[in-house]
Amino acid sequence: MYLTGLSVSELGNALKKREITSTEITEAYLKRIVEKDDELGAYLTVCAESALRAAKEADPSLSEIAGIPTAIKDNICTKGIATTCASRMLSNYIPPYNATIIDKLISVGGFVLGKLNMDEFGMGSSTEFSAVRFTRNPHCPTRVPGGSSGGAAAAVAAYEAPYALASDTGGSIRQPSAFCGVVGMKPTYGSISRYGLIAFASSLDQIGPITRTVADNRLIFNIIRGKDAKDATVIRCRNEVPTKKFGNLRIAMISELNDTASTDVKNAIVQTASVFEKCGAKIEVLSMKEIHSALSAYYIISSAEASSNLARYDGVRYGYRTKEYHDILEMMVRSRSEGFGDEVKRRIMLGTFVLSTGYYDAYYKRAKIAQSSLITAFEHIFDRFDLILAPTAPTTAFCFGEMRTNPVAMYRQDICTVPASLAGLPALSLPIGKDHDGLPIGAQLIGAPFSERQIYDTAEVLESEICYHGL
Amino acid sequence: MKIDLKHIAELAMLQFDEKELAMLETDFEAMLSLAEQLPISDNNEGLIKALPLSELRKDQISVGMSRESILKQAQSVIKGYIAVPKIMQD
Repeated sequence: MYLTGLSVSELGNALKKREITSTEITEAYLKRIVEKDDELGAYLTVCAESALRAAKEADPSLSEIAGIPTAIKDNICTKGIATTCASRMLSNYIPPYNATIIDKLISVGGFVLGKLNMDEFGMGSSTEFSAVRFTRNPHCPTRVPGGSSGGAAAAVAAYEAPYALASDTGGSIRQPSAFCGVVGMKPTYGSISRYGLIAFASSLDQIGPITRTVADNRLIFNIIRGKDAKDATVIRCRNEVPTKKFGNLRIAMISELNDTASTDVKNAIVQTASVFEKCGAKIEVLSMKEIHSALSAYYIISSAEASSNLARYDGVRYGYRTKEYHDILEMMVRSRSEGFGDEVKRRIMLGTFVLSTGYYDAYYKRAKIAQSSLITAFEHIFDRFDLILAPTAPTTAFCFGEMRTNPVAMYRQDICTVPASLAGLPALSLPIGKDHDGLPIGAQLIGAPFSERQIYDTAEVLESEICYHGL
Repeated sequence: MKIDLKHIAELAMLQFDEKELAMLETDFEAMLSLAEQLPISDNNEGLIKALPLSELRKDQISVGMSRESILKQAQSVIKGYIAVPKIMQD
């Protein structure tokens, strides 16, 4: 436990001082995975051989993370390593290229330990929609780890990975981070390249780190962010502006989000607010009526984009191809119907419907207008406030099967995370306490575009004041 | 509102049996009831915000992935081409 218990920053320092070697770290994590992952189910692929080879060649002088392995959500392309999106459709897909963020990590001495479980194609909030296996919550094995990055949050929380890289479309980094008691960042839309991230909803998808500490999260974010000629949505990062001291902050809370929370979550948020007040920060509770349409706008827009993005899976060039067919049309339809799971098909159907003739105006256009109103409402809030404090999820981790058969109940889990996604805002979830069952509670700090530095500075102070204890 | 799910499935290139269709119908009702909270559209397309434009890269030819690495992903390859069932009639 000694090595796996260290943070990324601590590992980096020990490596630089030559107190430990990259091989020792990698072996310690591989041992932990062998001991724990049969029960936890966080990994889909473990790259023991290639990781040990990379560890042997690691040069700790390259960067603060050189020689430290990382685990990657299975929708981020890794050259020569299966990248399946936890879907039958891509079960044999071995990408011939790396995502830009993987190349960035490798260029500073990082390497891949393995690939992590997720809801199929990122669609879900519990990782129950993985076509491969369930992932259990490290804090309670009968409960879900959240989703869609359930494998990533569980692996980091259970000390099976020093840190993980995942993706967030409507809360897929933040909600599992809250459920597993770790730190997860969804950065500003346009701050990190998504080249090589298998697309779900392109106008919302964003990559971010999951870590055990805020300092580690900032460290990884600063390495993977920045321009990329292969992703035109990445814009010049402007988060070099000076940040405000904790005691001078103006914090908004949104009553519509607080109202969704269970008693335990609400109490933890109130306690977190009192930490701000104790230090001199100003807290104000606001009403934001646009929140009421955020969930439906999110599910319409994301499903519409998913129906278009997932049209590429037709069994022709790559991916699953059905065994029995007479003509090309039958081959495509059967490949898609057999290759995709129920939740993915449900969203493709919803997306196809809202974009179809006669319904576009009634659904898709209205959703886009609601999204614009939400963005404007956030802009007005950030004219007067520095950050928003909100629950990450209405509840703590729920039990397996509790929501699986009721898609809308599952969708409602995302109410606190989709607003920042729709507005492209940076939002970090950090653990702020535990409920009466001992399950972690997460809070979000949401900022104006490119205010990651302010979010990290604030979260570091909160982290030290709250003293959350993990597993 | 009655939605023709068979038609939507055709557009989405998916097929469902009757039991699956019945379940989808229930799910659709629930999902679309969520959408009732959306504000009514009044032809205000101008309100839809676009993403900021980033600096575009120069339009230059560069080396891409090798043909071999791409063909490796295909289920069926004949003489260096991805093979599919016959499309043209005799």
